[in-house]
Amino acid sequence: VLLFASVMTMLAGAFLTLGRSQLALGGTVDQLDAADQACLSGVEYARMRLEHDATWGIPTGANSPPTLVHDHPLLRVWESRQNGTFHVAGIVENGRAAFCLDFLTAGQPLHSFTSYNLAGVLAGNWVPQTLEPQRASLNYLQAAAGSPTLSGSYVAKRSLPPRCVNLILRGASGRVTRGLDVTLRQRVLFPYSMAATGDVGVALTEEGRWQIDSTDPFNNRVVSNQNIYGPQVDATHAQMQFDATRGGSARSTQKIVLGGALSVAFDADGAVSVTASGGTDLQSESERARAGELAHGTFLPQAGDTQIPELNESDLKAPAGAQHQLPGGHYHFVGPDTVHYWSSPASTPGGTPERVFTQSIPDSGGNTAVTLRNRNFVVPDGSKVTLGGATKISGDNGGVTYVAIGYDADGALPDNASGMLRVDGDLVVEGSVVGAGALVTGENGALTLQGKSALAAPPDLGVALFAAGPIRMEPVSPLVSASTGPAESAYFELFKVALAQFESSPAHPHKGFTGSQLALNNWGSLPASEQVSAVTGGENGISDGVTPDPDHNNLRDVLIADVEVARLADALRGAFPVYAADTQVAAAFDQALTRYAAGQDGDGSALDDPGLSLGRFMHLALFLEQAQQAGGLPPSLNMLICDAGTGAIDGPNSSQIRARMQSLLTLFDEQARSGGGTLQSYVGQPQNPFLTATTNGASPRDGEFKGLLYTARDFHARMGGYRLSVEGSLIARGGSLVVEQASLLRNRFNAEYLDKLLRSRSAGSGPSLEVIWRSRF
Amino acid sequence: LKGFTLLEVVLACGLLGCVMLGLIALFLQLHAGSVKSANLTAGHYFAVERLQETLAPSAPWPPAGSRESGIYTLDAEKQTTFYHQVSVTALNPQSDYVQVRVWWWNGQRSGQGILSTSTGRVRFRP
Repeated sequence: VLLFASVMTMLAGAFLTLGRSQLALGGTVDQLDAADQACLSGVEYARMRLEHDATWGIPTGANSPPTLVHDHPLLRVWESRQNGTFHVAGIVENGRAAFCLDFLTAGQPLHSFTSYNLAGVLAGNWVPQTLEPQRASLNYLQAAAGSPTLSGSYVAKRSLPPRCVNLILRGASGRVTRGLDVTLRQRVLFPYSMAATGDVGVALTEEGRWQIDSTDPFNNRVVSNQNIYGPQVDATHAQMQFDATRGGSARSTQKIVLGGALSVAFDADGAVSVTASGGTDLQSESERARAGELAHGTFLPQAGDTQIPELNESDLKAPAGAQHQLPGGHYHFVGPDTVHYWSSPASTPGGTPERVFTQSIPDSGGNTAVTLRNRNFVVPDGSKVTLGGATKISGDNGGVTYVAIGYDADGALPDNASGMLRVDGDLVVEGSVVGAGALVTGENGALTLQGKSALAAPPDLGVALFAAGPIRMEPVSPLVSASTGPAESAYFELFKVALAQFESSPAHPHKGFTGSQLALNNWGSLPASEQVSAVTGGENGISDGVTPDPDHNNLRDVLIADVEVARLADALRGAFPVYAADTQVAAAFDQALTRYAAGQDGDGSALDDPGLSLGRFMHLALFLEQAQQAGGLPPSLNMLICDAGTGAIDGPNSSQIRARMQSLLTLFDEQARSGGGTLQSYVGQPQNPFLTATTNGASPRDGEFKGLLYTARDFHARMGGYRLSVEGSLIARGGSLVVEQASLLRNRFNAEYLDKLLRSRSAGSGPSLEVIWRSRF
Repeated sequence: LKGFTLLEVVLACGLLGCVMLGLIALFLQLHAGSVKSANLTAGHYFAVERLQETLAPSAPWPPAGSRESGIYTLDAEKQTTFYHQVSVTALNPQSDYVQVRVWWWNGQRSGQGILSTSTGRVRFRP
């Protein structure tokens, strides 16, 4: 009996221990969950604070003790600053659990820091505790999209991209502690480089390339809810390239076909459609893997629909200033600041206009709605202009017309500029759209752009093109493009060198190239007579003061340094194919070049001043231009003869050379202003903006866009062998998205433009955050 | 041969009976504790699951009413029925505290104390 009783007692003891362990386990599970939920409560609290203040958590300012900032029995939160650390401590459910998070400064190497002990927080005591750098949270939300990703000793857990915040939370309940690592990122409405509810079709020139990259390491996507027809991707010809380091993806609901022959058609309603014949249909796993490896990305056909959000006009950030109403119709530039107006957008320029506007266009109340300046149709900064019907904006041959949004009265683009041009119907712009703000076509209006859509505006500005109807993009029309050509690339280099030399040379004390009031930086506002003087000299020539100085220097006679001569001469030779095609032309050009440099005239007679001036270079350039037009030697070689004594230009050709210099300076000045710069900064930039696409540079006919390009219908761009670059996001919400005849299509996703342009992302409303990473420790 | 006296037999049986009664009572208590522990664990996970469902982005808001669920804990033929209630307390204009309380057997049973559990956390309303 005693033995039996002993065994039974032992068994009972064992069961008792087991039972207590089981109950303790239940309690531990409960505390584990409470600690976990406390961490999640901390995340929600941080989200709440960050949504209203994106700088919350950045440890700036003086030290401050723990201060109760949220007082509710279910959630009490204290915040404090101590020695470059921002501490947050919270207690939930009257002390059931607690959480802590501690911020260090993002972008600086992490270090150990002093925080508060969780058990102490639960007990209501602030007990200091030293923590490892890995426990630091970082607020990197306000970093620009192009900012470096934090890694190495700058980040606690993983690399942290810009526009993100990394929260490292500690939670405790009873004797159980938990850790939570959460990364939040500013939500992007359109996280795509390019997206269409219909097909996406891209057809390139033979050597063309489709380059898809992103400023955001998490978003580099091309999406179609039907088919994607891309260019060839094989071992010898990988025309479609994602970011080589970060990769990217192309996702479609149906097929992805690469390298097929595209056929583009328009239906009766003008909607674009695209089909492909031939090519490689990426149906098999092996085909997808091979193409993905060559293109540095992932191809995902048959991947299901993507929910592409619908954007309303009211989502766009609208300027808070004046609103103006103007009639629709045809606004046609006949001069730098003069516009002829017809009420019918289909009217042909010429004849008697219905109205003539000079320098500005007033609304019905007599207030200036639009200013006219250097062929810019300027919607002023802070204002919204509505055109009450279908509209066309164009200009006479001789220069590119711009719709310039958000510029100030001086033609400059202020920081944080914003304007809006709304058209109640179709809009055709024979030119470019530049600036900062939005261009909207409502009432199912189509938007047709011929030319660049945005120039090199400051990188933190962009344009939203919102079309209720389709968007059509084409390169600069033949008429407009007549003012630019391959020679502009060579001319740009020539003027760049000449102007730099003019500015720096002590031989030209009256330079006129610095200061906004001086001749060259005020070029567009100068009367024609003063422009002539600035080029050739005279009473009103370039001076170093507002008042013309008779002791002037002229630009035409500035001498080009010997070290630059060979390069610039080669640029001219390359710009005119007739040089390579006709030996007589080449010989005449080379002989004149040598003679000018040696102080001889084109016919070998002596000149007073040896060397190659800008005027003499222009002389040579015009010789090649005429030879090009004539298909050989021009009718008269006298044009290579300079006037002895004046050292520059002979009588018959001087006006022609002067006019060419004048028109080139006007062109450079317009380009400078449309980009928010000055002639000096434009000519001083390292890259020649007139290089042709074939020489791996940009061409004036290229389409370049920075911002959000959204159509509620479809998008079609026919590039005619030129480039199209879209930095931001390109969305066709109601149809297909087709780009054809492009020598380069570059899609670069940049969420920063979307933040700037969309109301929900406007300053003051705070970022909308999404969780992109969550792990427990 | 000397046998056990009647007194010895009665004492032995009494002792054995007392031990057996004590052991039976102990085993019954252990069984009840085991059932409670199993129910507590199941109830806790039920509460966490309901909290997650309530806070899911696609979930209707305000949360739906109470729901009951029969969950196998110890005996497949006698499932324990768990009940839950979601309560939402506004902390401030932008956030709430969402709590889920789960109970079974009316929340109390003689000798087993409180038969309920709860979980909850802050929910931010963007």
